[in-house]
Amino acid sequence: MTIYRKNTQAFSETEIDGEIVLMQLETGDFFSITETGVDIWRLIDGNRSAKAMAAELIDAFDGHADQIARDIADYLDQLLQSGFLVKAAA
Amino acid sequence: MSKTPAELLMARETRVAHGAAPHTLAGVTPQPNGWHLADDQFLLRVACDSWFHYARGNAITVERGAGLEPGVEALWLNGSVYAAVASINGLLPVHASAVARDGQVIAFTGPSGAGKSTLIAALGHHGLPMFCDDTLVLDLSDPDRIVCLPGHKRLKLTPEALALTGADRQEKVGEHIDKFFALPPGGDLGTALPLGALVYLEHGDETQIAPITGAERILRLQDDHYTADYFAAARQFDPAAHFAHLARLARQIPLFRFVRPRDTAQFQAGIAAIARYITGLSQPEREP
Repeated sequence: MTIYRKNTQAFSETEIDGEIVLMQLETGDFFSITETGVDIWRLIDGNRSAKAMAAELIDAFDGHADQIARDIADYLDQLLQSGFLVKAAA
Repeated sequence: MSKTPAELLMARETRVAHGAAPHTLAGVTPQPNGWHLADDQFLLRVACDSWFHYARGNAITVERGAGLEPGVEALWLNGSVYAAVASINGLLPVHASAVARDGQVIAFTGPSGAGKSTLIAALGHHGLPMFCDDTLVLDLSDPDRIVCLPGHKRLKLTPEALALTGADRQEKVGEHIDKFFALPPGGDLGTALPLGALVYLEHGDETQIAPITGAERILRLQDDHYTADYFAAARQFDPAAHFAHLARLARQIPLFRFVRPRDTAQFQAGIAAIARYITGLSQPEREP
């Protein structure tokens, strides 16, 4: 089970009209998080797994809980690859 | 009405003297048409080997090279130099032209040639006086609101824009510049006012006016022109401070896009549409 936490040293964050905007401090690149991505982002606390997030977001997604957990894990992996998350000790 | 501290500061800091100017600032000698900003000073080198130097508290020195037309000198002073002086003093210059409506400023931005000046001239026929042309200076010192300084430049229009807007043509801007000074048909306003909206000018097949929302608000503000470079250089922003600055602007300034066809036959219809929209925007909310 992989758990992620936000790599807060690496980016700045703000919320505008319900969307999250991140800027990589090293590159100056921007990244926006919209719709259900915002719900996922808010649940990333260094304690929850993708499966735990799926359980909390089951009403916001269509599909089976395991599939939702896989989709969330894919999304978390994208954020990891972009440097906004780091793996936390489970 | 009395002037704001920011207006008085700009009046004081943009006084001009002619004489020898330094050719190096903080060890940097700018290339022709290049500039350097450091240590609360600005040095600009233009064609004809002319130099413009500003030091905070010491106003502007112009070293004229042979062949620098007075009209061209004024364009540099009112353009790049004015924007740099504002930036060094904590004011944010924005590449925008603006009108006033109900005690607020509605500003229009876009790249050179987007039609900013033509638009504000035409809006004068709809009861909207000009607030500024080409450069809008923002005072960010009050964290709760953004205040605009009245324009310091005269309206400049191409012959085509003069014909489209019916603005009263004045003298030519410069011998080799195909623009004329013009009187704005709706008059102009010289009082500092809060910023009501910033409208991005775009071209498209259909006329469309819509709010810009979400992350795009920051991305639009990030995609600014030369004036933002001066402000960033003067503030010596680190990336986090730059982001915080953009986030503040994005939260406080309502942003819109105004898309319209390039076809001049549809120009007046587009102007009427944006005039109606602006009027609706700035109407105070009333209880039902």
